[in-house]
Amino acid sequence: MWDTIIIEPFINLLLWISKLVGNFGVAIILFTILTKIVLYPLTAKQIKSSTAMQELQKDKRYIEIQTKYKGDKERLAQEQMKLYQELKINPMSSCLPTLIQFPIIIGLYQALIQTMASGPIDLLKLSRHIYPNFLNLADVLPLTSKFLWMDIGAPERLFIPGINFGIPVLAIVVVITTYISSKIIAPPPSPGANDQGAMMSKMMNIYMPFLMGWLAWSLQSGLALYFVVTNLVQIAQYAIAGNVHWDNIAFWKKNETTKPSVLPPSKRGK
Amino acid sequence: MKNNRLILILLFSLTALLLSACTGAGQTNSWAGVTVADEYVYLANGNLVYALNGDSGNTTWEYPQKASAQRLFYAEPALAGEQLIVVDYAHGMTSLNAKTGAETWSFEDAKGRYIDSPLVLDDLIVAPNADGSMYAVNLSGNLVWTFEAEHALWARPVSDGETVYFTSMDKNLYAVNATSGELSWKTDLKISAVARALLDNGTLYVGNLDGTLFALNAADGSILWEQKVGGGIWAAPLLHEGKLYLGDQSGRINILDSTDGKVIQYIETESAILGAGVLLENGVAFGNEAGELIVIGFNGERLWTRTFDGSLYSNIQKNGEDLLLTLTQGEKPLLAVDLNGNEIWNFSIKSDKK
Repeated sequence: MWDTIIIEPFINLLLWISKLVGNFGVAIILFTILTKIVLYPLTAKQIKSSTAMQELQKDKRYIEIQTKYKGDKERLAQEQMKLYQELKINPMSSCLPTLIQFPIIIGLYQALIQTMASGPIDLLKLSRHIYPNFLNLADVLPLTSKFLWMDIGAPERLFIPGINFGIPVLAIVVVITTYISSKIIAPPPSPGANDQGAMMSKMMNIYMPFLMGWLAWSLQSGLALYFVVTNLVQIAQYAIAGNVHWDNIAFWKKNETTKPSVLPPSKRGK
Repeated sequence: MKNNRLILILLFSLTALLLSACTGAGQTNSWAGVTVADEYVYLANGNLVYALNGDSGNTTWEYPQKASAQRLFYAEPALAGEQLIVVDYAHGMTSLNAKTGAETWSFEDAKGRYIDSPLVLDDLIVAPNADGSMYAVNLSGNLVWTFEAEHALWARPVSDGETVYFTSMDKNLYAVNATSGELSWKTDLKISAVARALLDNGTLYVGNLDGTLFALNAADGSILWEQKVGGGIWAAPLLHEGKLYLGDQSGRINILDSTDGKVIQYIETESAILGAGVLLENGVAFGNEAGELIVIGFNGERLWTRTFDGSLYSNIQKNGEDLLLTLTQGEKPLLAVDLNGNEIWNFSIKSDKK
């Protein structure tokens, strides 16, 4: 079931693109862009939800709640929830695209492993996953796993003369781009310092890049390439929608962006 | 706040664990290799190589002492005098004392996996690597020559002592001088090939993944004939009295005339046949993915079939009068059976025997 719905279409699409462009690394990049385009409706929903949250933070009632229940976390949460319901805002809806990406990541990883066919059983599986009316195994083999300095089928390391260990360049890029993309698409800090959602979001922004970086460091570089392209396309999609907050990564402006929450909305920056 | 952080860390750990599990990390992607020599049976199975007593299946020694998840052994170990040559997925070729398992030397120049075992030619060890190179080393582990193909090499070469012949993923069959490593000729097999070749009386028989079996003149690589069979070819054919016996990925056992390649007969079996069969006194035996051991007579009549737990992907080996079956994803990775398919002994990882 999983193979039929996820793995086989991924493998065939990847191989087809690879056959067209003649490079598996480029095929992964194009495949990623394609999946981001297909998933754009979800991203648009995420952007919409994010915008609604920003608007909410300017709402008079929201600011009042933050001030009134500053010392009572439980009550604050209850009141916030009431307001969310009243305004029909789902604060968790921005998580959906991320959650939907997990099966894609897992499927892509399995497809990558099987497409690279670095062992006999992988090759056997690959030969069975190819749609016979769409592709011919004879036309797609052998696959070239080289892309720039990396082997798509192995964890990436850049070896520089004079340094006796490989530098995981792609993993570092994954950490940086994940951090940047999660920071700049995040809504501005909530007016309430005790806002649990903001706290969670802040922690996610710290831990998520390291989790993705660890995956990029330990798994095939083809997957790390997918992470990097995903992050870059995500930034581009948000930028096109006019919803990026560059100030969030401008550390030198930190004091300006974290001004007290009680300021009237008209005086708060975006 | 502290609780939130803890929950988040736990959540991430769980996600990482889930990703690792779902992505299939650590899953085996090859099948075990077995070699019989003197009173020993050598089994390369995952992160260990075992030397077993050929009569009982008892473990004599195992290597390495500290197993590693990266260093996986699947290729059949090769015997070079008193040395046992084992190759692994972490680009290592290691010489062990065949009787004790003590390490003698290791050769680490390769950049890729060793999928198949090396060929031993007197004082030369010729090892194909997935990095696309054929490495020839002497019995002390020093490099003698390297030959670079255009893509991965997955099959053990064959040789007449002067030339080594081997297939490649780059679709070519190569003939290389055994002393110098220089190319003698290469022939396009049209599709990637992972099967070993069979060399007999100046003729090479070799198949590709598209299911075409070629007969070539070993002197110049010219194609004598070619014949399409039911599915991809993963192993060398067997030759007996002018007939070639060959399993294919569609599950057929093909019997071909070795002079012109004409298919005399084929026998359907339940699933893919990837490993080489073995010649018996009264016929040939092949194993398939469904775990069936099929014995047919030389004229193609089915003599008997036994089904075992696991997949019989590996080459079937003879151990004296018995057969050794390597079972992938079965409870018992190695089974010794008599010529009626009855179990004599088995080797299982957990109980370390029987």
